[in-house]
Amino acid sequence: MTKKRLAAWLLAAFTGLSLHYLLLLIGCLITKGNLSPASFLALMTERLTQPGDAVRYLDIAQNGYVAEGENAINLVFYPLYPFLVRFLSLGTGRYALAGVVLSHLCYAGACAMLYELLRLDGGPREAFGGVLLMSAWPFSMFVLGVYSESLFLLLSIGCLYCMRRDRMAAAGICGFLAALTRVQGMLLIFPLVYTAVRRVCREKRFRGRDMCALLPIGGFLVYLVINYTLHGDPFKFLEFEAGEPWYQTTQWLGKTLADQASMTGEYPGLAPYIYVPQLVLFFFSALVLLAGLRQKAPVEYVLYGAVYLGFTYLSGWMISGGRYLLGCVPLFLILARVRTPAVRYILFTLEGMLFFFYNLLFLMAYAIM
Amino acid sequence: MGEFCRFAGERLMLLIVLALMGAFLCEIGRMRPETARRLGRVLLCVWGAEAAHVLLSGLMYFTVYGNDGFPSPETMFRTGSLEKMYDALRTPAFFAPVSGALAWLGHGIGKILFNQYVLGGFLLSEGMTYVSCCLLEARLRERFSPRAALQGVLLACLLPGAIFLYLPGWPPLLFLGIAALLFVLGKRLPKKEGKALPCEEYLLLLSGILTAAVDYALISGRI
Repeated sequence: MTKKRLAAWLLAAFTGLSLHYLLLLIGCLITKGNLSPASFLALMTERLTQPGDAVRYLDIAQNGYVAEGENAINLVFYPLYPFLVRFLSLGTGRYALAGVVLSHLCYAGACAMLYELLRLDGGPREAFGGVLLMSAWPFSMFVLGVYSESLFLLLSIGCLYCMRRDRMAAAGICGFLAALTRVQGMLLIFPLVYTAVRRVCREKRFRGRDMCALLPIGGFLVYLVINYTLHGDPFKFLEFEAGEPWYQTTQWLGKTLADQASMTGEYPGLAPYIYVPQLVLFFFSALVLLAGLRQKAPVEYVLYGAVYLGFTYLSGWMISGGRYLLGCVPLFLILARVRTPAVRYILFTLEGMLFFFYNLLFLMAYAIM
Repeated sequence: MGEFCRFAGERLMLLIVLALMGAFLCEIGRMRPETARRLGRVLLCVWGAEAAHVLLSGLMYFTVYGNDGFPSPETMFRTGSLEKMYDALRTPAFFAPVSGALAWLGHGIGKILFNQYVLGGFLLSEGMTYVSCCLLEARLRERFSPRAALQGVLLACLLPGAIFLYLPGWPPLLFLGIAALLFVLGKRLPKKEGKALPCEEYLLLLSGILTAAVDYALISGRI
């Protein structure tokens, strides 16, 4: 690895982190009225370690999964992230701090990894553009907090990178770990298997290491074993997801889209930052994927993106679609390749505006989750 | 708006899936990129025409009946035989040989799509219409020109009564039969330069008016 490459990685990581810290500073000024270290730390604590799923991850890190009691439903959260938080907090007992540090490290790594992945097909400008697009995703406010998003990004980007470099074993391991981080991780099996099948069709020979393409399913199976060990039912998590407080079921994506549209009318207060973005993002993402095929992006990227998008919108009662789509890395890989100056101008400007708007709402404790 | 989002979203995802299949076949050398592009253009013509029918019908339905929002295709297109078909898709029954068989097939497709049986019926009809249009396009391109071929596909999908090519029932199967026959027998047709018809614009306008009239007659229950 050359010094130049290392410098580029560090710059990519710094770029990603600095954008979020800029928003945190602006948010601190608006919500607290000043930029004192105490206010800044208070804001970080309130918004990075306390809202939504963060509390549940911290509980799992501290107490593990439990078979009974009100925290039994924490089973719906996948194990790798809280396990790493616990590991990092060994000796200190400071789980929240460990979670924030872990997310920071993973996010920095994800930015560097994305830069490297984009450099396989383009120049430094395109690669940095992709890092900016991922960092400024309007619902990327969770990457620095006690959430699994950063770890998932690192592992999924790592998987795609190793796959492109024909390191199937490493790609499979990253996919295995991604599947232990979020349910969408098992979808990495699609680009891996596609790559393996395409290579076999072209070269007419099979390599043993191509079997590593199936490892992401292994990660999901480990999670099912955890379900079975605790509750005697490998799919207990589905039952918990369908109950309070998530009410998440699996339904046809057409129905999800129709429900989202009707929710905009039923809950006008929540519509601007939950239902409208989720509806718009579906069509935007679908069109980006089609544009990716047209601009001859690697088919495995588009395949992963399509499977990820379709799977995400199979969720009934979805309220975190914007956050889920942060993990749809192909969107950034395809958008980074846009060359038309006017389109790039509009894309980056608009994304910056939306990044500010939704991050500010999040820091002001609006129900973005 | 919800129903239109559902309609557009489902077709968009299906378009991505079909485009990926085409890309895979091209990557392993089983299909030429030019063929994939041609098939893609035909698909866009077929769905574009369907969108025109659905949007126009939806607008007419919304205006005439004061519906609360954009109606679903199932709500809009509800003649006697279509109602029977929708029921058969949900609970298959052999009420007629051909339609009954199509209902079973549509039901099967709907089972895969999280029990969306009526959607299965619509997709089956769209699939048959698409295959028919591919056959039509192939023969027209060979005998006339690529441009004439796409025009022919669009014309077929926008003729008065073409809405029935997208609805569950036997018309799409009949169209498939006719297209297959034309494909086979069309080889004997001599190649010729495709010339524009006299008063082409007037004829197209007339066709549009009659198409809208048939769509209106369908949504208002007159046919």
